[in-house]
Amino acid sequence: MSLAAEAFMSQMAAAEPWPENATLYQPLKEDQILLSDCASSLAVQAYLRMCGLPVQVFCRANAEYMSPSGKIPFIHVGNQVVSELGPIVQFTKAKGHSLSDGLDDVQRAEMKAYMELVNNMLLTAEISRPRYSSPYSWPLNKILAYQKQWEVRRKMNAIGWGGKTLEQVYEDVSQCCQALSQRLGTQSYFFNKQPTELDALVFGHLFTILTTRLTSTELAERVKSYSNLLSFCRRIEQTYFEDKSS
Amino acid sequence: LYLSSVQSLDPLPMHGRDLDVHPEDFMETPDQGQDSKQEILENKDVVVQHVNIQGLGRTKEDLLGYEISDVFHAKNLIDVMKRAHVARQRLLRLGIFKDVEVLIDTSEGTDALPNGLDVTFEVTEVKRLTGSYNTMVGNNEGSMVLGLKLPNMLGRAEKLTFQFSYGTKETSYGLSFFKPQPGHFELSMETECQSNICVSLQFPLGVTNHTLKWEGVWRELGCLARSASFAVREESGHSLKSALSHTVSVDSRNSAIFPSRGALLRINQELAGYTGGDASFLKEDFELQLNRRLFWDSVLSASLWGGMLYPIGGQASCIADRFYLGGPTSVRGFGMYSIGPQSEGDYLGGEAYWAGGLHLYTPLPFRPGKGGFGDLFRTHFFLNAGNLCNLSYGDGPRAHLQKLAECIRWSYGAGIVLRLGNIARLELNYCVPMGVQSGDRICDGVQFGAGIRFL
Repeated sequence: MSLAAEAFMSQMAAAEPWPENATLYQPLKEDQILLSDCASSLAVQAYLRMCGLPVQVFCRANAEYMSPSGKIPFIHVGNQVVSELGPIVQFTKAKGHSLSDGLDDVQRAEMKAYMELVNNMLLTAEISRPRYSSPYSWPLNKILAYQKQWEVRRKMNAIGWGGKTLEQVYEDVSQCCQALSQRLGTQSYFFNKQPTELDALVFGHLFTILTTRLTSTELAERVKSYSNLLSFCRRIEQTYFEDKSS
Repeated sequence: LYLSSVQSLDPLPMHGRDLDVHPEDFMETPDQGQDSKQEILENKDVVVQHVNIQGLGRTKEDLLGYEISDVFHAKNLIDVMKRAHVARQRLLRLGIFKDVEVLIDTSEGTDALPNGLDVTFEVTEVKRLTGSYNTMVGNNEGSMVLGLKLPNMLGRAEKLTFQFSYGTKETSYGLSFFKPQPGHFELSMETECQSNICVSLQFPLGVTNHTLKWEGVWRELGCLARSASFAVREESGHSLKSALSHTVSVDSRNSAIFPSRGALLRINQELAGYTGGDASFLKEDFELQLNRRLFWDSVLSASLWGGMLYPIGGQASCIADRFYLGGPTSVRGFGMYSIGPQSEGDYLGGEAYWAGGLHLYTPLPFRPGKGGFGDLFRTHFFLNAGNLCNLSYGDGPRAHLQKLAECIRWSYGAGIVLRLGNIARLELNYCVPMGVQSGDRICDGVQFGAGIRFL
């Protein structure tokens, strides 16, 4: 389909309300999902809950290949498939749900800058921790694991992180957390009293780092040293994720 | 007596049936005056004492014993000529000789009988390394194939081939190894594109031909368009299929493309999942074709196909393993693979199907080009029918049969068929599809098809 036709289709879809049976797909939790993918998925889930849009989460071994852009998570709404946080925010905005409407231009630019910071620092720090086994059978699991590692290494080299040691990675993470902590200060959320997509993104990444069962907890320790970020995560978890079970 | 030699055009062993090639073609019609001499030759008893093969370089002799053994059983001179000709064909078919000449002479030497004959095959071996350029026709696709071959690698007709294929649908390369054991079996191993390995053993058993095969395939499915339906999108990703299969076929037709008599029965079963891999299923399919000559050189042909896929272990079947129906090579008048379960315009295939066809082939009206080019064409009138569905387990076989019997798609029409070599054919038909269900895509009117296996 040409770009114009796709744009037309998404305009048509935007007019429909959010259905009850929207679904979100991510890789299997147990042995497949990468740290960065887990963080991205959690960020999208947090964002949708903040908007008050119901979505059901499905775990699939081939979620990565099902996604139209190859990145996860992706949502299936009506007959539209949208992947990654950025496009999903746009998609919900077209349907009339937005968290950042109340921001002025300066704040919006600031929000974008912080989101980029998180994406560059935390996301790539997560990628540098390899954790990829496979639900496939032999020899496919070995081949796909090698392919994935090679891909990640190539990406790291492309952004200049190839030569960094673990210590340097931890230092970068600390600095990023310090910037976020300073911005957050004593507020409940990053901007005003309402959560925005930046809150969802930061929550997704920090919560994943804090709760993941990695061999080394160095990353988690670094994040824990900033108490306001810790309480920020806990607050969002209690507000948006725990009321599901109650 | 010197039988003329004919260059072998195709170094690969051809599995298509030769059409109308008989030893009698090589006999000259005797003049009237020579009748008596001819009679004497025919009635004279002979004994074939020696059969020699000259010109062997790296080929081992024990390989050829089976091919030439039949010549010893000849009883008279004409018989010797016939059997020698058949043996020559077989030697050429091994693909290791560039040409073969036959020399029949009276025996000489101390143990020579008065009616003894010596038959000598003078062979020229092929070079150690050959290159080739072919074009290949599959079902609605064509490709150009460049090949590099080591024929007769170790002296027993082993063949190692590397092929690069550039086609309308895909580009691929592959390595294959082939070892025939004449009279017993044929072993072949092929790999393709780093994603496909196949080892197969082919052997005759009485009138049947059996093939045992193990196949390992790494499949990667993806959506071609962003607008692909979600049911197709769900099947994207990698899967590994490791399957054992067995095929038995009985073929008594006199030609693969335009048979005028005989029948073909081929039954195939495939079991995946017990030798590793993700895909786990049992697949059965069969093909039946009957041909009969009618008045005025026309031939009536009936064919029936069917198959069933049974996923094992509770997981759903993969879209790449299911059957598809429709198109110029199966039920004509419908779009390619466009019958059966579908989702938003994408066809998902089915787990059980059947298809049948009834054809009447006649030579072209007024027979233009008879005896030459015109013989490659036929007109044909056809009636095709078929159905495809999924099986919802727990319903029992009766319910499945009922499902396949309702909502039958069928079509009729007429067209022209052209034979390509001995393996493929082109068709141009005018079709009228009937019994169309909602969701099927039809192709009524003119439909063109090319392929090797037609309903």
